[in-house]
Amino acid sequence: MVQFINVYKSYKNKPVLRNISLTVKSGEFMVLIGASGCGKTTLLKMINKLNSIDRGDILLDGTSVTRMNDTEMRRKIGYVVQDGGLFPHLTVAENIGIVLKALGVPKKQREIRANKMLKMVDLDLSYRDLYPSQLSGGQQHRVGVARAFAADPSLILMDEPFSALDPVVRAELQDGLVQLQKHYRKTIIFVTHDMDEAVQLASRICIIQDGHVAQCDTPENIFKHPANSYVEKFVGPHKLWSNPEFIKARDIMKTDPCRISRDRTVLQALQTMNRYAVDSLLVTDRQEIEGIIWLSDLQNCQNRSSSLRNFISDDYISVYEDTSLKKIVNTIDYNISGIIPVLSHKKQLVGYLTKSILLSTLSKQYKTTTEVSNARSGII
Amino acid sequence: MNALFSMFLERKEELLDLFIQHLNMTTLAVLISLVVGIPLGLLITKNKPVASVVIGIANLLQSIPSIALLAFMVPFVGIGEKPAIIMVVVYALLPIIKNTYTGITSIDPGKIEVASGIGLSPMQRLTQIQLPMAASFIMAGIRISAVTAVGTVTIAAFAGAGGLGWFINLGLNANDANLVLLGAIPASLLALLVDFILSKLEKAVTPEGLKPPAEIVQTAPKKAFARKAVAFALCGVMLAVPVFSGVSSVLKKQDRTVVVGSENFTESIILGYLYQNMIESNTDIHVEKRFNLNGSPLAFAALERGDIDMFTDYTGIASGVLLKLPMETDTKKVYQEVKMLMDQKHNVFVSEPLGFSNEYVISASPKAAKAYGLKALSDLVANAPKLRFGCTTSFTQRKDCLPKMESQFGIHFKSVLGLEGNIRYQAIASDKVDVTDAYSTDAMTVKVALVPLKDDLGFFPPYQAVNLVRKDLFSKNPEIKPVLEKLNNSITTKEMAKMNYDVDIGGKKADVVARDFLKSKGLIS
Repeated sequence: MVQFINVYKSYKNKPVLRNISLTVKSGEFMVLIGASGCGKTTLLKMINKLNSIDRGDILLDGTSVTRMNDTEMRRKIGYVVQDGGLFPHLTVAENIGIVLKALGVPKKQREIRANKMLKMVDLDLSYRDLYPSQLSGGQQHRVGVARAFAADPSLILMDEPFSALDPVVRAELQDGLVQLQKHYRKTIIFVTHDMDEAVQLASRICIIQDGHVAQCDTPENIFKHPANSYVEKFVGPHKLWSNPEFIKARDIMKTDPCRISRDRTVLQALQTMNRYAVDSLLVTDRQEIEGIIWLSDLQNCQNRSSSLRNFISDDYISVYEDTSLKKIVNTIDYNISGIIPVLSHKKQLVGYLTKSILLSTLSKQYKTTTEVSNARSGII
Repeated sequence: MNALFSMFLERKEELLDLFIQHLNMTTLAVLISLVVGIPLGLLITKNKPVASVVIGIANLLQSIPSIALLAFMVPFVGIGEKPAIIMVVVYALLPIIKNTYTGITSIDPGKIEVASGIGLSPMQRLTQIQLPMAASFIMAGIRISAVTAVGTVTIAAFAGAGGLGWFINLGLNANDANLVLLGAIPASLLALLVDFILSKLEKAVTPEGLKPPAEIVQTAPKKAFARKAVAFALCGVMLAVPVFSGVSSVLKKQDRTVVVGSENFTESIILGYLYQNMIESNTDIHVEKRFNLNGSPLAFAALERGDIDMFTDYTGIASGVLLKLPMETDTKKVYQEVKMLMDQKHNVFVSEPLGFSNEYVISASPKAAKAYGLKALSDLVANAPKLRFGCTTSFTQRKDCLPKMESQFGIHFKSVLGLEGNIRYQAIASDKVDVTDAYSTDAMTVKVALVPLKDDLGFFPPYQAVNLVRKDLFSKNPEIKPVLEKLNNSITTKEMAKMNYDVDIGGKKADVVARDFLKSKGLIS
């Protein structure tokens, strides 16, 4: 666990970090993000004491970093930097093993560990005796990550490690990193200026604005409830829509669906449908859903006073309120489904979705606030 | 070429000794430069202003002429290997400091921060990151230093330190190109050898990963290790020679030793051998030679410091240069003054005159002598405006020489050319100058057949040869005094000129000439 307590720092009388307080829990993937010069890297380097703390304190598992020996504490923290930070005169294996060497691990064991680390980052063992200049950018970064994991630290600091890579390689490394983090349950503190990257990786994102924490929350909450206009601007207007997994059914559903009791007649149901211009009615008992009455089923009925009981259909798909838009869109068959009931996990009906609601939701991502069309008719 | 080869065969043992001496001084000086230069270079990387001051000073030291530096140091540190090595160190320091500094500071600071960040201690950063990454820079500096040092050590001969410069200097004295080559060629070969060995070492210490990707060779660790071992072994041999000879010289050291000095011209060197042979043949005292000291003041400073026990000088120089007495031309008076003052002020014993004098004899080329009827100094004064004068630079500078000639007689030569040693004989032989300042015992005056002009004006002071000895030598080794006295009044000017001729023109070894003379006089068997 890493705790920042009122951390303050200034350069030449200009405050860089203003009383930052933040807790990173064990096993968490925390991304520090902000515009360049906001102090995010400064904050990161305070953890491994590359930068000093003017006021305040940073606790690692409850112990102040100021009480720790610089060299010894750093060996227990993984550190990855922008260009991979490999030493050009050492081979891949030597680079990976350098912290172990400093820790006094014998050569044989270092080599075994280096091989294991290479496998972990998906590099062939034939790379072990190559020098960094013989590797591609992406490979160098894999080795950089392998080095950080080599001494099996519980905490790993990453300072914009992937920012210099092309998007394809970056995405590959991001995926790999997320898997490693989940698998080995490391605490990772990761600095970036790229919101897409933050969303890809983070369990929580901490947005730093001018040396203070503007907002620290899960990506989803930041998208939905930006703490201030800076965060909103930083996140960007379309971020939520380009990440449909963060849009949940409850965010877009309509409440108060047209309901009917199963004790009513066909005629009454037709009249209700007609009044509300809908082609289906939900049959509920208290808040629990029993089924759906479809208009098409009633139209062929001769006896309009017969009970609805015979027409209750279970031919529908319902979703939980926290099912993501992405999943809904991927699973719903537009030709069949009309109304989609939204249920709580206690099977209570909380709202509904329709094709038109989904369509209008999806279309929102192409609409910006500035260019709302006033046209009500014509061809667009 | 044949002459050079036969000279090589004749002097090969002496050459080997000098070569080893040369190697010793070079290695020791470079080692000291390393021990001083690398830590200093590392230290100044912490502070930029200090770095520029230190590098500035090293630059400044480098710009001092080596021979001046050497002469400057003798009064403080004496003669022999000490000032020579200090001088070489002074020159070797700059490339080492500068390259160490550049090598370390040119490393990307980001790499150093990463090294700290992953938990390397300052020492581990230095040994595992900074030094390996700067290794090729530092080695290049060492290479420049070492190769330059081989050259600079030749100057050491001027402080009596021996080395290959000894042959070069002898050759220059005798105007013998072969003798110069006998010193210069091995020195160049040594420089090439040092460069070769260090280039191997440079390769061995340069990390493979720092080369351009295309040039990186993936060698099996065993092979790479073997290559490194060879490079280090070669360096080890280079180090072992000085260590071995240092140890053996300590073992050989005898407690009863007399140090005989000489200046850096043929006559002085012959006189040095005369005394060496006299002492070694007639006593059981061991003689150490400190020959080839660069001029009278330097030799005298060495005598006063006790670096040498004796050397031969001339009364005129002792009086005018060493004691700074006013000019005096009376032979007896000069001798007595010198003997008394040396005894009282400097605790130096002045022997009786050895018999010969080595005076300035202004000499004209046969052609000029005939054309202007030059026979004596008065003729020179009368014809000066028509004559081209080529003389030693010291003659143009010394107050009792050319300046006095000009002020006393109001003469001005047609031209005055400052020339060194034997070059002035070449100049007069090839008709570039008409008159020169010859010495009465010079071998060259005989060869070029110069016409000596008689000092009918009583212009020059006397230059009787005398032996200067530290007085404490006699109290420690009383038996040496009668041995030295045997050379008093025993060498005529003609005999001395003959010996000089045998060495400078005849190409004989000074040692042999000295021994032959002593044998012919029955002084040694």
